[in-house]
Amino acid sequence: MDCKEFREVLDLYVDQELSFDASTAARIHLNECSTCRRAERELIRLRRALKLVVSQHQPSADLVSAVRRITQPRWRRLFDITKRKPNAADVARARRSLWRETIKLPMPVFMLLVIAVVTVTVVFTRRRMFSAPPSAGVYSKTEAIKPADLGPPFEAADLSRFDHGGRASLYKELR
Amino acid sequence: MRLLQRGRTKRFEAVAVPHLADVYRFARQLENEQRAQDLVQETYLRAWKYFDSFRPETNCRAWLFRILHNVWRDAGQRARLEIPLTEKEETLIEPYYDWEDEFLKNELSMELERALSQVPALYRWAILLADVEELSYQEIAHVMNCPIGTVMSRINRGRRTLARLLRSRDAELIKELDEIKDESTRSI
Repeated sequence: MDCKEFREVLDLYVDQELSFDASTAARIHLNECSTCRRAERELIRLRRALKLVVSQHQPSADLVSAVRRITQPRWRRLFDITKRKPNAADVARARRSLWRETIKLPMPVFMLLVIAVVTVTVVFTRRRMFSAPPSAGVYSKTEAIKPADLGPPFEAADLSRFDHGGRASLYKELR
Repeated sequence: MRLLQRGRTKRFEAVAVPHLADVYRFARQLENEQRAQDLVQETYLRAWKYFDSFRPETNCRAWLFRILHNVWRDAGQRARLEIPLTEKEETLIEPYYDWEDEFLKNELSMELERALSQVPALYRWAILLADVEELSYQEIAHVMNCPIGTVMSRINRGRRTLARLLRSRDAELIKELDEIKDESTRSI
């Protein structure tokens, strides 16, 4: 391989697109020719410089979040237009929230506890309300009327004609 | 259905989204910041839409660059190509001796970026895909939807154009310095 042939395949050689035989021939020529070695070195430097130049640019956070939103349904994307991704300061603020600092209990567990306490309180209250005995002095229909409570018997006219098996009859029987 | 959708989303986020920075950096070499962002968003929208057609055993980056190329082409950027490419220019590789002098300096990032922006867009595509993204010629041909011979030609011409632009920048700088020197000696 001479210099002219090498220059024709220089790009392919640097890009590792040559066949094994052609690559070997190019390498042999490079060992012999300092001018072509310099040419190869310059091309490799250009490649590196290009990489450096291109790598200077970085996508903005807005672009990254916009691309991530692409996978969301259309309606959600519409509503998420103003929603921004929380940054480090937001995360730190959330970590310092009053709830986390003071109670240190997961919210679902806390809610379950509250529901349990309320249920138990309601059940006991209702049971107490309906099963309590009547207090003294309160009239109850369930108690039988004793003759002694009616006071001493009194002479009375024959009242049987005024009622029919009522209280007059009862007095009569008792006497 | 919802589970399927969730699996698709997860796969997309694992396979395609990690290449976002590469796609953006590439688009940034084609357009200004705002247009590059639009290109990238449109690319990812299409990628998400046609994600089912992506084969996992292939190179996802190359697939994304192909979509980017289509988006960019559809946006009518091809009409802005500065140098018209004839068939002869496309197929022949120049055996120029462009690499013998050291035209690259250490502090050249701005100059290089400026020179790169002056390289015709299709050449720029080819050299960026080869030198920055390190895709194979086969993959570049697939991305740019052209024969592999055309890819070789574009890479060859693109690199030489870039080298000449940088060299001319140096020549202009030397000329400017000489003029300044002449003026200062005259004033003394």
